[in-house]
Amino acid sequence: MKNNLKTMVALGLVLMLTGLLGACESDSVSPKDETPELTQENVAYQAAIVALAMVEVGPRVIDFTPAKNVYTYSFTGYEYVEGDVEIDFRTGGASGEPATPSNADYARLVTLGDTGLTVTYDGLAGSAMSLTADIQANLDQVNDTATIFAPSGGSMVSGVYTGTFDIDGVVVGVTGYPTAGTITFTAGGHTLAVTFNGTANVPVSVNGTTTWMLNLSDGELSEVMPPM
Amino acid sequence: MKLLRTARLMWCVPVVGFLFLLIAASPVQAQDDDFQDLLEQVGEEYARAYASPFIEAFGPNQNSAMFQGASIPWGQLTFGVGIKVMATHLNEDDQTFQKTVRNVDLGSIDSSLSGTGTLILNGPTVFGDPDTRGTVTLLPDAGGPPIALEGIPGLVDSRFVPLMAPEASVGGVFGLKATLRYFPELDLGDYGKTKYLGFGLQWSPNGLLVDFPVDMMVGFFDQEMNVGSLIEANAKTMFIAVSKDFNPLTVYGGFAKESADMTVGYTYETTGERISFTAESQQESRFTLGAKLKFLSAEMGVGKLTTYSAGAMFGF
Repeated sequence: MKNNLKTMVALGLVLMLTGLLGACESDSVSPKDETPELTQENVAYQAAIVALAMVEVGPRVIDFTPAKNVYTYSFTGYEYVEGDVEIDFRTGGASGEPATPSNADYARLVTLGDTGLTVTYDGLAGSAMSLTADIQANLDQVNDTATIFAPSGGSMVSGVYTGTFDIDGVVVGVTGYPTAGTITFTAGGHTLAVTFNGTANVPVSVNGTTTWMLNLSDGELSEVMPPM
Repeated sequence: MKLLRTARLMWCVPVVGFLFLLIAASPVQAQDDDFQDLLEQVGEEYARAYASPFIEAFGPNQNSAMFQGASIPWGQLTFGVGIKVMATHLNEDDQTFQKTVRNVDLGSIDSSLSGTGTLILNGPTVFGDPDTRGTVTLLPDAGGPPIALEGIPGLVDSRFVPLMAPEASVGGVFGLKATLRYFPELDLGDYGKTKYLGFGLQWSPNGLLVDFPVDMMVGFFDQEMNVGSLIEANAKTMFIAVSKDFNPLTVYGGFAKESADMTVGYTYETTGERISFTAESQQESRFTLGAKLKFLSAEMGVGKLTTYSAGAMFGF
């Protein structure tokens, strides 16, 4: 009887101490280094890549052929962009009735899946950024143009770095470069704006000052030296 | 063939059997990947970070379940044989990692690149999500956008790193007890030969301190385990323990100073280079608390890592 009591007390003590020790969780032993900060140049390149993608993606809301009001478009054979988007056409604006592309005055383009489109830059094998976007545009059937308006935008992921972008007033046609509008790209504490002008050479600016020039025909980004 | 190889490994090496059982049961099996296959897809820095929870937990596992009490007779021969199982419970943060390496030759990562840059390795560790791939992000020093390449997925989604060890002991002369952990050398085909050997000695001054209220014991243990050319793991521990018998329950506790290291070797597919690195365990000491009921024991070890162990030792 006395032995049983001792055993029970000992067992209770062990359980209590084990419970106390159980609160001691293992320390973390895997590396947890901080992410290096992006430079303004790094972000300028990211903004440029989004602009290059927009040149290929934007026209799809006006360059349509299927006689359906909602369809999936696959980007294959493009220089920068690969993947699928869904385009929804309506007449009477965003809240209007579904319409076939030729009768629509509004289109919404949304990338599919969590990772959206794959954007490859500079031809580097295996290197790709994923881009998700939600774009709304007013369609001008007479002039074959579309104006992408706010709050269109999306995000781009490149490894551990994520950036977001807003598109406002970007006018795209079936062919050629966007004639107007701005993409504002933010990443790593830097905000840069790419302003379209209908030519292949577009400014990339920081706080309204042109800091880089992007050539949309070859993807080259060159720094603009400040005046002496 | 692959299945056969894995099956042989699981059957042949009880020491690592638990780990490979987990691997075999994981969805990764369907992807035809195992630990070695995955490591071969990445360079040394990635492999070090990816395998770090396994490397860190393996030594503390080896150094667990060293005793089931502190009482060793001075004049009664004793024999024991049985099995010990251990599992280190990882911190949740160890299912992912991020490592930054600067001044890396980018050409060694991708032949189309040149110059140097910063490498950010990020993703699941070996015990992370098997459905998520890691990333290798390059920031060229010469400028340009961040470049993202694919890493490898986790192998098995678990926070427990298990291990199992067969053990035998003989003692009872002047308070001495010798313990052996051993498994015969086996040829595992592509994995190479595997072997496991550990030995230790314990001494209890009970025979000198007959009126002391608790039993006391000091000891050491030294172990080496190889899994072909992939893994070589060494562990050493020195410990002091006390126990109190409350028939039929024995309560015991102890403190240990320990060390462990693991060498991992594999061939990096991209370059064909043989990679080998050694990492030391960060755990240097632990407190142990446990209880034994007849031939069964259970204990908990708390150091930098928390390890749970259980044993079944039969003997006379």
